[in-house]
Amino acid sequence: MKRINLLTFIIIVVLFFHQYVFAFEWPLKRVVITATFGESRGDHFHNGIDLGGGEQKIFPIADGEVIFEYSDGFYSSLPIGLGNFIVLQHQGDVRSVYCHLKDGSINPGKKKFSREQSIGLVGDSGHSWGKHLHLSIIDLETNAFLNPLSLLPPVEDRQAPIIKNVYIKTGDKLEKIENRMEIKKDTITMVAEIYDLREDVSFVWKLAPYSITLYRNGVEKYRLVFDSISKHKGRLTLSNSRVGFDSVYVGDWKYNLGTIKLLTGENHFLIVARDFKGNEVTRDVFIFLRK
Amino acid sequence: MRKKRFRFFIFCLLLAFLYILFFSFPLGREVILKPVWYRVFSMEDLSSRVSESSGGESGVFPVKLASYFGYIGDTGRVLFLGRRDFYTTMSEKYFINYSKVSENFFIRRRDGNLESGFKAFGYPFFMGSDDRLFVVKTDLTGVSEIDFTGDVKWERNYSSIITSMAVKDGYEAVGVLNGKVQLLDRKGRVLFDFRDQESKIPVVTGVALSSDGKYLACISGLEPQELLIFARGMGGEEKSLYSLYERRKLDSDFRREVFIKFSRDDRFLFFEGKAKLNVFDMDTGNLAGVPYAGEVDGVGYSLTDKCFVVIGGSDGKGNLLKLVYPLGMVKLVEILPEKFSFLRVRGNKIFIGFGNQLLRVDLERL
Repeated sequence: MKRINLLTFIIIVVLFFHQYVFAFEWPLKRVVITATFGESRGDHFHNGIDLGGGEQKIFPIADGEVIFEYSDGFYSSLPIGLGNFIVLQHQGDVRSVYCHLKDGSINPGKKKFSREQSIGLVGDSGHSWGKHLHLSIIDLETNAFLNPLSLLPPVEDRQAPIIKNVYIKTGDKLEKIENRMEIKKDTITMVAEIYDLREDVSFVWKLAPYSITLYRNGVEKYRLVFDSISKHKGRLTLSNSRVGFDSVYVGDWKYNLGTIKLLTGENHFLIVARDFKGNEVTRDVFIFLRK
Repeated sequence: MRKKRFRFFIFCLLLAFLYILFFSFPLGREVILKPVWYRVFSMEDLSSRVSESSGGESGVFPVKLASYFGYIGDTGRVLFLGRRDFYTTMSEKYFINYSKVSENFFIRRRDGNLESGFKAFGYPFFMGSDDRLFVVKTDLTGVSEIDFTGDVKWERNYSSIITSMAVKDGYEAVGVLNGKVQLLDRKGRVLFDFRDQESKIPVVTGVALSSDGKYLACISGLEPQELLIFARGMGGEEKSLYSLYERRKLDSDFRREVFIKFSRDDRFLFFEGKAKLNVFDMDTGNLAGVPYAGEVDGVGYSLTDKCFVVIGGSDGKGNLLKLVYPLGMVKLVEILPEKFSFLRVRGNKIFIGFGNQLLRVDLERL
């Protein structure tokens, strides 16, 4: 009996503090992540996450107030790639953006939504290949897009990302590096092909990792963290490293790990890639600079 | 008693005479909308293509109807007609018609012939005069100006969402979700940057530019929502050439993009209000409202007749067309049978599109 009471107490405490640990909830009942934060979108970073799972009701990530919306038929001075979308303002100067909603599923004029009230339905309006919800979170305080996976309750992910290939970049040419390599030039630009995989499908569906770190002889040389995107010197950059899209992406899933001046003799590089859950993969690369 | 009655009669007569003498005004000639031509576009018209050189068509203008787009002459002659895809952007001379997931775009001349093609990760659109071509990122976080081969002339990014844009004579105004409004020059350089601190919730829901770029207007914020007008050359500081010219608290509470634009002569600023179209007189500072039950879909201004045509409304009675003179005097109200889709006013000619139909009516006085 005492054990049951203790368990009940723990559950109540967890439920009570849950809202403080995770201020936000998932906007869908069935969560299927189909694209992650920071992925390449041709010439810019993906500034949110995509959630699949078919047509279903969308709920706000927290109680919020509508501050802007677009629905098919509304006046617009621009072509709208976000499709039917709605922006909510939450406590703490945080805004959430829900995009590609089904035509006619937004209730125009409704100004406030509680966590339990549906905003609309998942659709494929705007620049979309299929039904999905694009969710972005904007921090008005820092004027940055935040990675929703850092703010929403954790989801199951057992598989670490994959480091498929490592390259040396010379001009536009990529030369694959085997684990051991001897070269004569003392400065190289290293590129790594890295991706995470969806676990709920049997075919290959790539997702971006959460972070990539490059070490040389145990010293960190370069680090990319897809945690937030903000403006720096007129460009949208990863807030942590202040690097823009063109400096990060060399091609699809190929990340620029920086230009490094090699030491004479052995250079031991370690590439570490993590997903948002903390699953980690490493790759050792040895490059010998011969003088 | 009879004398008293006679005096009273004389007094009334005098009063009537004085009233007529001092307070009467001549009644203006009655204004009518005279139908000139009417066209219903259908699948058969899709092949319509007229050579401009042989036709000598005058006053050709771009038209977007429910499922068609094209270039039509003043006489109703069709120069080109096509079926609208996801988005169709048109200038006076060129158009791009594209699907929602396009990366390759084709610019066509108004006779339908190919001008050039380019690749872009975003949606292209013509805005302003001189066939200026822009690309907005599909996530609405950036805008660039490109040439007809797709080369980027300039680019500007925002760590928020662009809510509205206006382009006039080498100036671009951008309204942003974070409450910022920016004025850019022809090369995309920031001329003026403003972020409102007055409203509880910062957001810009509409921007407009006067034809010479002297005035920048925007609808800003929630609780309260305000009209802000900035003017060039008002501020003394060297760095800020633009400064606040007018600030008006509004009774509206729009949480979507708002229709706002200057009249062609920059005399009036039209913008949506709460169940009305607001008309701000830039010369006098007067703000008048034209009542509307629903949304305002379009406004055209006749320079020759010094009146404007408002169209919109969704009060269940069909779409309304109102002919309004400055100071909010409504002269004429017509109810259109179908959903409004197009309005263009040139001189006394008014072109109205509803459904797949286009109608020309001329403003005439009896």
